Amino acid sequence: MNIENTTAQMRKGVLEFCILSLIAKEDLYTTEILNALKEGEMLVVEGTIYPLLTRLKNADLLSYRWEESTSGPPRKYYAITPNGELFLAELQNAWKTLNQAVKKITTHKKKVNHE
Amino acid sequence: MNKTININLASTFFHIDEDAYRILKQYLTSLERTFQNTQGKEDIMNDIEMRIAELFQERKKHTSYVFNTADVEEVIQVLGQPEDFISGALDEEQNEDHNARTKNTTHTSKKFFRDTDDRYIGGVASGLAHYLGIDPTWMRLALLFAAVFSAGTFFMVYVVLWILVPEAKTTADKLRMKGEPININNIEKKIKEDFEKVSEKFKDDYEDARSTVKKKSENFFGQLEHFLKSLFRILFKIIGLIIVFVAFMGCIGWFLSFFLVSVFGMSNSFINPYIDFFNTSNTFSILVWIAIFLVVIIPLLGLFALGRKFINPRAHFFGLGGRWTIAGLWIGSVFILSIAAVNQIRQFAFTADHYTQELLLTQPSDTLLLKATIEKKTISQNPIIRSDWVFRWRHHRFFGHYDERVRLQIKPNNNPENLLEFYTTADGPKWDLAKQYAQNINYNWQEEDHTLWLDPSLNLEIQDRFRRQSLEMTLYLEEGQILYIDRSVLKMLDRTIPNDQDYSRSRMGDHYWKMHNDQLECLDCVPKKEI
Repeated sequence: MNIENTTAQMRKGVLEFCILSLIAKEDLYTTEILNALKEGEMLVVEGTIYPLLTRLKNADLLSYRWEESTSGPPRKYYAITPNGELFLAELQNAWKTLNQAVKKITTHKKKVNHE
Repeated sequence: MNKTININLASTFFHIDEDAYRILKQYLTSLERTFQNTQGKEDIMNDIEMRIAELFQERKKHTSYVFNTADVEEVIQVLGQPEDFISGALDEEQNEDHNARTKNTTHTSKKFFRDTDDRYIGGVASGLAHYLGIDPTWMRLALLFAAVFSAGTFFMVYVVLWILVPEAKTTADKLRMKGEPININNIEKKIKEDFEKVSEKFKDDYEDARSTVKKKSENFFGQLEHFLKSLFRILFKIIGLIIVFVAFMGCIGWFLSFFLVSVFGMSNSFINPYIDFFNTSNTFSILVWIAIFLVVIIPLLGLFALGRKFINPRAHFFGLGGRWTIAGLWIGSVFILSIAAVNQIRQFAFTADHYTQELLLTQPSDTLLLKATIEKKTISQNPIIRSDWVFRWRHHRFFGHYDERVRLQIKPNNNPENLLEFYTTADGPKWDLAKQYAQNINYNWQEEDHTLWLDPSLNLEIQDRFRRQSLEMTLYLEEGQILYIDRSVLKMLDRTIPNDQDYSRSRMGDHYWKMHNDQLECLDCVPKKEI
């Protein structure tokens, strides 16, 4: 097992959740999403995001529109769909449960280790 | 100096140098292959292209800036390798192959493939060597020893591995076989910037995944076919070796018997007595002998060439012109021989005979001695070399001292006289010629002091040698004539000569015989057992 692999797997699991959460707050175009994710160290290489966005779009969780840009090519702005909001709500619940479960398990483990 | 190319990324215009362009193009193509079976491939590609345009825009220092390889590599670094794309966006329904591949990109685990690029038989040894990380030569030696010391059973293991272990066909397979991580850099290293092959690789992967089961069975039969093919190849080579050997020995044998023996004059050879066999002019005769030589040696050479071809399919002989010449020579030889054959047959078209009779001087009161003149005596008695001497000498050396064509029968004569009758026959292209040949037969015989000397062979004119001449002599003896048959004439005697002992000709020699009641009666034989 190598640590990079494991963390990559962990990040991968929550990547969709993060993207949906970001877009739910406000409409974003691809570079903004990328920057936000990179800031949060959720992303190693940008390439990962594109198939994911397309898949979310195809699943009718996201929609997009084109907007002209002053500094470059037109931008693809993503917005969340009603379906996406439902999905996000479910994900938030799941995340909470998961978070608690993980916390509980990991802290318990620490106690055992300390004693 | 480097060529600059203008490109258009997401409706934005960029200058890029040739090398950078090639890398970028390769990158995009491999991405396209990666997403080939992913839904929304066009969207993804558009997004990526757009992002590249954006990243280029950020790096563009001035309007006429030319992007170089470093820029492109930097951008690719940001976007990531195609493998990373998949690992990040793994569809649940995506096939196992991709699973394995993503695992390999991070883990670089090895897989056991047969290395058909480096193989002696099936590439099992080198494949196993790659898998275990040792030198293929050692693995081969190890397998060879294993095969020898297991009395060949290990060979069966080899065959099973050969059939079951897949061949490393695609670049990805080859990299996985050697345990190298499969990413664009390595693939590039591996196949030396061959863009076509990179796309092939992804295509292959895709197709592999789609028809794994089908491929598996094809593999097995492919292996079987391959195995049988190599078996046949070996068999062919062995057959070729045998053919070459036979042809070579045939050539040597024919050459020696023909040239060294006959032409250079060793006696007793196969051809020597017949060197003038053909009733033709001398020049044509020589031609005929050359034709006979060629007619045998050319097919032998052809056989030799065929055998060589069996051993090495690329072997060439004589070139095209040479081959035609040889074929022409052979056909010419056959033509000459057929003319000779027709000519030869014509020589025997007619058979004629000739009778003569000679009255013997010996009277019944004397005993007639029957003897054969032996060869030496004839020669010594005739110091002048006759025209047929050479022939006679050779002839007898070859057939022994007696000529099958000279026969002697002994019959009773109703008249009171002893007669020797000569009946000669000969063949010729015309009846009168045949008749002439029959008359021309010269036979040496002599009667002196009640001894009848008979020559065991015929004397023939040198130009008339092969006319199928024969001589049947009949000795007519009057009643009561006593005859002594010397053993020297036995071989000339007819097979059955009527006698009271029922002796065959071989037992009639060295006895006194008396002509009585139409048969010979033995005078000094051990009496037959009385019944």
